[in-house]
Amino acid sequence: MTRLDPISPTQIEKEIQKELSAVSAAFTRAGLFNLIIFKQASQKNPVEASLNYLLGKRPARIIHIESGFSGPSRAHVSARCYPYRKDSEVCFQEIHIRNGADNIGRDPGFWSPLIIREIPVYIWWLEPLIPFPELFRKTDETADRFLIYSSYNEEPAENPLSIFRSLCAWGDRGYGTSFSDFSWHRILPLRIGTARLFDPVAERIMLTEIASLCLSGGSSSEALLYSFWLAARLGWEAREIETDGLSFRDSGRKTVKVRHEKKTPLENGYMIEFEIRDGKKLSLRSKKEGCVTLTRPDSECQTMRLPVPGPGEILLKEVDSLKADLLFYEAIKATGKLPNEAFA
Amino acid sequence: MDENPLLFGLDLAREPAPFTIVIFGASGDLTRRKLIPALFSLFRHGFIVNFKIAGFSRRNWSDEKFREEISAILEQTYRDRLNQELKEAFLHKISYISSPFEAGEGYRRIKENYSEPANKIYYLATPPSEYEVIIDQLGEAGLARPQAAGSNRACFTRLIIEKPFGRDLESARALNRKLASVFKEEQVYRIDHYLGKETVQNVMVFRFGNGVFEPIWNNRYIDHVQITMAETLGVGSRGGYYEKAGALKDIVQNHLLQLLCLVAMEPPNDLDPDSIRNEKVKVLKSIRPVTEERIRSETSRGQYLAGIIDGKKVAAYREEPGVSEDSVTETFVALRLALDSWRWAGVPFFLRTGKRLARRTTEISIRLKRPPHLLFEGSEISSSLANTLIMRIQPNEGMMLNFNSKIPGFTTEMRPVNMDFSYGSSFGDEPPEAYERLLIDAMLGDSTLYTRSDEIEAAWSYITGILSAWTESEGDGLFFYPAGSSGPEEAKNLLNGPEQRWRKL
Repeated sequence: MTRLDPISPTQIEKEIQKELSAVSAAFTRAGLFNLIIFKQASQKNPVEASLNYLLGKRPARIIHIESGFSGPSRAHVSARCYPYRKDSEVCFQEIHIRNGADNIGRDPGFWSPLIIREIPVYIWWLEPLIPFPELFRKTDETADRFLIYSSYNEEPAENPLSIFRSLCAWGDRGYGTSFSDFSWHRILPLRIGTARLFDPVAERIMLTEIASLCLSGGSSSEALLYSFWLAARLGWEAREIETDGLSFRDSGRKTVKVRHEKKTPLENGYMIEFEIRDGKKLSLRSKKEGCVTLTRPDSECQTMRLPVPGPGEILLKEVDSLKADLLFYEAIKATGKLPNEAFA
Repeated sequence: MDENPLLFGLDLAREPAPFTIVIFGASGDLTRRKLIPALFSLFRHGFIVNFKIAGFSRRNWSDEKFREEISAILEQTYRDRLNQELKEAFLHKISYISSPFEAGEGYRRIKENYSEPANKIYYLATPPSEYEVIIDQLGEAGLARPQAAGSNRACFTRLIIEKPFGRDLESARALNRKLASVFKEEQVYRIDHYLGKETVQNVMVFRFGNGVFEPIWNNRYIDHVQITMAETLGVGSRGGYYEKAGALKDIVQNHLLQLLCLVAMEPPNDLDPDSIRNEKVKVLKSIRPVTEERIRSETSRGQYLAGIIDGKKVAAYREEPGVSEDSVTETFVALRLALDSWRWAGVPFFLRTGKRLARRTTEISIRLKRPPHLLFEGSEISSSLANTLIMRIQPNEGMMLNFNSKIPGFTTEMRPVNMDFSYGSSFGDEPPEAYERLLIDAMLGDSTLYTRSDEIEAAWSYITGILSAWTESEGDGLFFYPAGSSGPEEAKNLLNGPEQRWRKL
């Protein structure tokens, strides 16, 4: 690791090459993307675990921008490589910027010359999302995608619904860069499980007759995203925010109640129970290891493996793609339809 | 509600409809090593959910015994990474039919006990000698026809058959006729696991997913193409089989000709399996047949002698177990092919494969023509001025472009340099096993990576021409090479253009 003082992009480039040649026998300079991570100092975050997951799978230039330091901004560089089979290595080139009181380190004018221009740029934002960060607007031309984690700052500081409504407004204002939310990816097994639960013809017709559902487990963001995904897919309209959930109106103008109980990590297990208007119940229950059991009224239980993806898996999937997730935007858009009075 | 709105956009498009897979030869090596691990992996990753597996074999096993065997395979494959609940859920889907392949009873049991799921996949994991009787029995039992569907969804019945698909053109045609007497062609999936490999599939992505290569992919810019599949291994315990096969049938007829097709085919209109296979068949049909007069100038065959591999002495082919001491079976083949097509007229394709060669490598090398006017000093005497594009299939999968650059200094001297892309440096994760990919494709009805009957016959048509000419000459024309070398010296004679020499192994 080389500490740089003062910081200049030219010097950083030079030092990175030195670091790489020191750690890599093959001295591989391949890089598939830039990842710029904004985070707060001394805050527990999923960055290191995610990068450890990614290490050895994709080579990248990673720029860590950490805020909350006194004194002038500083930078240092490092490199790490992971062997692939016998004769190859997959490497990270890392630039660590400590944003000081001068606030230079987080300024795009400082870090954007450090981006490798020919490859995509992902900005992973782990700082507060309320108020909606101005940096997104400033870097709309630089970034190819913004990665957020709406559950991350959720309790008790941030109301995820406000975040989703800001995202909805962002899209409406015509900015080009798409967003992706880790919380959305974490509910993928819930979405797949639900889709499969209702897939047999006998159960599919019940989709128009759902009276209520209760999700036990997951964060508020995850519960909201799941609810609004269902709403968007089934044509429900959000009507009201209630103390323990939301109320929707289905296409037949009947009320559908959605409750969220027990805010525990999805990895610890979760359960979704649907009540149909004729009193029948269907459920999806996950245990710790990611095995999910689907229970339908008149058939045998079905077990399948649907593990909740960790941040590393999500990050890997994200950096392999630049496509906007239309279902995510559909769900986000559904939050925008919630009447403003609902926030009163 | 006809469609499930919750499935939309969930990337579950590749989840097959519920099916029953019947594996003939369920107690055999292929089932143990490849099929069960591949099926479990697909289940474990959630690609297949609603299915049953029926093992069918002569061995007198019960359902329980078969499940124990499967359980042991999974324990051995995954060790402490095995999720026991998932294993139990998988085993719950498995049963066994103990029956001789020629007895109708076993097939009646399929019909009676496996009506659901109604979609059927029959996997012939038996020696080829059993194919005919199984195909006949499936036909007689009425199992080849898709079962009538209860709902409005159409059911399917598919047959997966392992290579070799015949020993020559005549036997391949006989097998195709037998298959056609019971199954429709679209029901038959001829598996060549080589096509399931990621890097082989990437040849098409490389060619048709990039705009830069296709304009130069023709006889105007390409001097010649070399396709090499070299092994350091000998025949090992497969001597008995190899004596009847030889390198031409074992490797060239399937793997190398498939690679040739991928390199030489025209862009298909779409990714429909038949659109792709139609283009591949055109390539195979465009190969100029080898005549007896040209057999020595267009083919070269060899057999390995004792030598050194990986620093150790290894025995000659004729000393291997199961091999005749005066065997004339070839362990090395090199071919010079001409494709009679507008795109490839005048561009020779050199194919080469062998055992006990200096290095293990599979690659496609595209040698481009020299610049039309040699401008820089010294270039008229250099033989390394032509650019070469190399697609490395294995090991160290990747691409390399060799081009010329100026040497720093006051002159304009130049030298070749490499622009190298290695999968291992850009994608560190292991690709799925070939069998996983091929099985899920068959479950989904995607036959792109499977071989069609006319493809098989077109390939055999060319190969049989060589076999006939070789048979005429008996052992004459078989050259020997020491293990650890690049093959027989005589193989060099196939290349005679100014830019043509075998790539170093």
